[in-house]
Amino acid sequence: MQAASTVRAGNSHSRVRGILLRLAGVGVLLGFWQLMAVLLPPSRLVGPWNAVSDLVHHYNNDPLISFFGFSAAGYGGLMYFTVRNVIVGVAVGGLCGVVGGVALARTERTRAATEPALVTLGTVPILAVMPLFVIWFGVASYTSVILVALYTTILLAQYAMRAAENLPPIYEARAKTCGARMGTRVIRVLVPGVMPEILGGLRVALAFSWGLEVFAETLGAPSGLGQGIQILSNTDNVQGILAIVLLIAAVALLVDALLMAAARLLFRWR
Amino acid sequence: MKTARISSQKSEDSDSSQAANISAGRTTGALQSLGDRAPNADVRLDAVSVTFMRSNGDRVTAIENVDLTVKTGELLCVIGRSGEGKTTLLNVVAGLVEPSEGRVLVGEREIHGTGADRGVIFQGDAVYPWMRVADNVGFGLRVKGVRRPERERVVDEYLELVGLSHVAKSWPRELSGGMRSRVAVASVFANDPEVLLADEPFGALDYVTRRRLQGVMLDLWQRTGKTILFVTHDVEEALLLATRIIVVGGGHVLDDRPVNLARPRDEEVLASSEAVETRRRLLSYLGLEPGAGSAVGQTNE
Repeated sequence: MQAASTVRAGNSHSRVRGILLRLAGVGVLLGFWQLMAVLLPPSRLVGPWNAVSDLVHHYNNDPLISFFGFSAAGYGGLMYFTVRNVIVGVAVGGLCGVVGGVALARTERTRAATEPALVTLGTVPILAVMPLFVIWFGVASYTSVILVALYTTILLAQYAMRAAENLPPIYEARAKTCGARMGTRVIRVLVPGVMPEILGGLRVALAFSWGLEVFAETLGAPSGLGQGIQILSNTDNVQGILAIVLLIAAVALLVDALLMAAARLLFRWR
Repeated sequence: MKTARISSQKSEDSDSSQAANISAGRTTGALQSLGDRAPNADVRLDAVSVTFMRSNGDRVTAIENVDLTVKTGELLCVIGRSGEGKTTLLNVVAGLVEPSEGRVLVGEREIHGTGADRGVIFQGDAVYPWMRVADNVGFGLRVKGVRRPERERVVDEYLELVGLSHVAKSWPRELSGGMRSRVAVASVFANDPEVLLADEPFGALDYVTRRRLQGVMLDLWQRTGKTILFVTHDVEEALLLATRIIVVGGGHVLDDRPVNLARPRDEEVLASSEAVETRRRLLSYLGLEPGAGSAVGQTNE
């Protein structure tokens, strides 16, 4: 008991130390940014405080964005569009990727037939095919969702396949000798066994999907932070662009933190 | 059989409550109901052969034309050197490997594939790390659809018997190797299989923990009267546990004899002339010089 509480205390200390180190890293980055802002003219770079001020000021309403006829007239409205698309794209792609990857890992012939195609698709730079998606699906909100979903599916299918292959066969053998049917084995053994490894893939997919979504929006979308950046860059509004970049970073960090908190709760056994 | 008398090995620390139960000969509800039942759980192998195909195309015969019957309630130890077919023999009975020829029967049923009637304690760690100890022990019962109150009752009883009640809510990563082995043993017994198959379950444990778990195993067998096939490298383990020992070599049963030593098998019994003679014979099958028995038994491989 005493040993367990000592371990717990040690864990909380190392967690606090980890948070402090991360904060220190962010501080160094902001310091460097501020230094560069002092050295460069405001038309090239503004400091973090100016960017935050712009973000607060234009969160609900930006006359420039309103001028271009967007229904969401502030950064907040644009952000809602982007966040929704990323979440839907990653959720759909994640589900398809995990189910597909686990299924492929369990059927040798199908895997042999599809794995080269998956690996090949994985090597194609997704940003390069983005104009094709705009041509195929038009300037619609679901165009970027499809792109994010496709990217997530390919990535997570590979993670899921590897995770299912890495799961010790003894776990499933035990379930079989307990009389568990396929459905029970998948739900009670396979899914909990592979999820921690898949979580790593999900974080990578999420991190990349923000950039993917925003870039897709700059090519053509009815709304979104990417469109906001496009409009602001046409008027050389460096302060506004940096404000949106900050907003994207903050949202990405928040979503990742929520994912990690959920993972800590779900994977307490690790 | 059902009136428990523990063997000389178990009396250590956290097993004290368990030892008290055992020495008092108390049997709890779930165990009594298991023990009262006397199904025909004979295991019969009729001319069973298993042939594997290597990746280079070579055929390897793991066991060949094996005829074997294990009577209900027997504790049969299977010994032999590595790669001689012990685990294959066990896997065939478990249904994890299909025989290339011949058939396997449990009772009157010919078996194909795995089933809850044959529980396996695996050589490796098969305790699910994502389930708490109690959930691990109750996993088989849950699969069977046993309702929660009944499941919890059975789980509690088996956890008490293996001395793990205090860690019922713990995660497996918080347990030692020996404790996890006890979880594995409790899990299989709690699932109430007709036949229990153990594949060198204690081989990776230190000497003291192994002796303690042998005691737990023996006690549960005495209480439940299960038919057990126990694969081991260790001659001393076989002498301590078995009602009968077979030696497997080259895919064949080389020797098959009952062990009529008295129980509990304490130092005195294991030093008797009959035990010495059995040990000598078993060691000679394993290719060891007669007289090297005690040293081999203590070092375990």
